[in-house]
Amino acid sequence: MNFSEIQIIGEDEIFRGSKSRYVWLFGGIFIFLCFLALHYSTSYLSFFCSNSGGIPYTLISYLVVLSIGPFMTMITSFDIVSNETETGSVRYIISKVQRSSFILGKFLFLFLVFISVSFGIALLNLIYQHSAGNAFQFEKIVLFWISSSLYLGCFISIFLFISTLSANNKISFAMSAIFLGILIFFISQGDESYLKYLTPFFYGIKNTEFMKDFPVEGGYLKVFESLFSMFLYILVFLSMSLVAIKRRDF
Amino acid sequence: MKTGNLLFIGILVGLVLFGFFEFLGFDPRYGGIIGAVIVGTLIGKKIGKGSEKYAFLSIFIYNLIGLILIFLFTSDGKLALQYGGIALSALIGFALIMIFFYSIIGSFGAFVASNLSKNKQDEGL
Repeated sequence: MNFSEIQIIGEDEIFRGSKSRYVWLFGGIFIFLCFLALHYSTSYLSFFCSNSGGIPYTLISYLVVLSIGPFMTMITSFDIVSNETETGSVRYIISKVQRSSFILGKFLFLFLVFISVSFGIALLNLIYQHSAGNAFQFEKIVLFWISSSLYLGCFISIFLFISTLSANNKISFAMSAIFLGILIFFISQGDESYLKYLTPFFYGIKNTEFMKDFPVEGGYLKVFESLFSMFLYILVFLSMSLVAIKRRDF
Repeated sequence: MKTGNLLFIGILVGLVLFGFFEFLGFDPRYGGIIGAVIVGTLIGKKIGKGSEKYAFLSIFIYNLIGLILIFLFTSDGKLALQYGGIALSALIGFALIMIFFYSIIGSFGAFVASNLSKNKQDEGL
C-alpha cells in the first residue's frame, strides 16, 4: 500500500475521471431529494408539531438517508471497478500502481463524495433549524454527519467488493441489486433474529433514536458502539475487496 | 468432473446438511442460509465462472425435496396435510418464498467463491 498512489488515484477520479461528473450529479440529486423531504414534511408536520419541541429536521433527513442512501450509493458505485475491467483499462492502471492502492483510491473518491453529500444535507438541516427559530443543536448535526457518512461508507465498500469481483457492468449491477435484496431480506427477519447484525441497516437504525433527542443517558457509549460497528463493517468489506483484487486475473 | 455430476453432488450435500440441521433442531432460517452458502460456495469453487445458475438450481431442488420429505414423513407435516385449507397453501407459499431467497443467497455465494478462487489456467506455465 502506497499513500501517494492512493492519493493519485483518488485525485484522478475526482478531477479527471469520466465517472466523476456523474457521481457528483447523483450526489446533488440525493441532496435535492433530502431538501424536498425536509420542505414538504415541514409544511405537513407543522400542523401537528406547533406546541411540542419543534419539527425533528435531523430525524427526517436521517430517515431519508437510511432509506434512499443505499440505492444512491449502488447507482454511483456498482461500476467503479467493473467498468475498468470491462474496457480493459485496469491492466494499464495496475501495471503502474499497486492493486491495493487502486482499490483504496477508488474507495477514497466515493467516500469523499458521500462525506460531502452528508455535509450538504447537514447544512440544509442547519438552515431549516435556523429559519424555524429553533436552537442550534450542533452535537446532533455532527452526529448526523458522521453517522450518515459511515452508513453510506458501508454500502460503498459492499458495492466496491461486488464490482471488484464482476467481469462487466451488467453482472456487477445485477449482483449489487441481489445483495441489496439479501440485506433487506435479513433485516426484515425481525428484531429477535441474529441476521440483522449482518446488515448495515441495523447499525444505521440504531442511531435513529439519537437524532430526536441527543444527548440522552448513556447515549455516547451507544453511539460509539454503532459508529465503531459501521467502521468495522467498512474495514471487513474493504479487506475482502483487497483480497479479491489480488487474486483476480485481468 | 461433469457439471451434471456436480449438480447431483450439490443436491446430495445439501440434503445431508438439511437433514443434519433438522436433526440438531436448528432454526430453519439459519439452517437454510448456512446450507445454501456451503453448497453455493462448493459449486462456485468446483465449476468456476457461470456457476450461479447451477448453484441456484441445486439449492432450490434440495430444499424442495427436503420440504416434501418433511411433509410426508414427519408428524407435523402429516398433520398439516390432513388439515389442508388456506393455511396449508399459505404455508407452502411462504416456504417456497424462503427457498427462493436461500437459492439467491447460495447463488451469490457461488458468484463470490468462483471469482475469489485463483485462475488455474496459468498454473505450471
